Amino acid sequence: MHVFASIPVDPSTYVSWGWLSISVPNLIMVGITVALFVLALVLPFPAGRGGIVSPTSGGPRTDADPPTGDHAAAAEPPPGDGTPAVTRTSDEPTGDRR
Amino acid sequence: MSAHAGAANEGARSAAAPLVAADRTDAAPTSLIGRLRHRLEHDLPYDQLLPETQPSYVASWIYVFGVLTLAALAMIIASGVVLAFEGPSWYHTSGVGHWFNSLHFWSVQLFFMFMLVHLVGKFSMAAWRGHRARTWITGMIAFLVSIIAGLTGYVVQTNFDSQWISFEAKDGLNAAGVGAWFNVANLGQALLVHVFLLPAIILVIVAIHVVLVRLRGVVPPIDAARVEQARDAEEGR
Repeated sequence: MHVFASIPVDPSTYVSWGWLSISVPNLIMVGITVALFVLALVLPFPAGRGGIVSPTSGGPRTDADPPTGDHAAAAEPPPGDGTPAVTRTSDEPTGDRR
Repeated sequence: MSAHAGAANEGARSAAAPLVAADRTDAAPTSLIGRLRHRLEHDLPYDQLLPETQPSYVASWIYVFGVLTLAALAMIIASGVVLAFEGPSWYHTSGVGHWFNSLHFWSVQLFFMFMLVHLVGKFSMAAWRGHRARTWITGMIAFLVSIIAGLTGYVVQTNFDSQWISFEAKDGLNAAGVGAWFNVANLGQALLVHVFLLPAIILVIVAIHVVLVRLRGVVPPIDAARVEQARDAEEGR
């Protein structure tokens, strides 16, 4: 079928570093994945989402509550005795723990 | 129904209710169906399967990538259904076909990106803690099966790319000793494995994974592990 013969065959460009050889498109995808991971750790999560249980009141999260998430852990230094700031997890909705 | 008859029925129900409740909770079920019902009632209460609230530490982007992976999987399946019905002579030659082909391809790219971030994030917080080993194992199995699904997807493209990939993969699979059963140069086998067998396995494993997440809850950050351990100890677990 001539239509398939018209599909371009592009060997792409490869980056080689010692034993490692990777195509530029794959390298870009790896870079985006790493960037996503880093951004997920550092970007603040939008506040005011429903269904988030406050660690302090036990009720729905309010604007008055302290920030949450990993960035909140970074913003709240642990107590002086080395005990981690754990109050965030006091109401994890888990049940049967087998 | 008269008011009198209704009251009598209500009374009969009230009298019978404790007996039914006792049968369902106290007596050990003797049949297979009874044991299955007892197990489901015990293990899968609705309030845990469909929670309306989440703990505050879930308000972090790193906790979003699990559901993003599920969304990408839904797009993969939806676009894959269209490709399966129309066939390569359509998705290689028409504009709409190219679009759906690209949609399927990029859904896969996003699926693996999201799943990899999810995997690394959970590995970093040792997500198998707190009796979550089965959750971790099912996630890893889903990841490994997805890689095979991705490989079979590449070799059923029916273009020069797939030809080259299948003949490279053939040597690797032969070296691994599975070439006699899994021949990626066999288009019919690779196509059936890609469009039916592996998606079915992935869907089942992902369903189990999600149910386990619901049962055990999302894993807390490592610096919050003491809270969960103290609560488990307090509850005698």
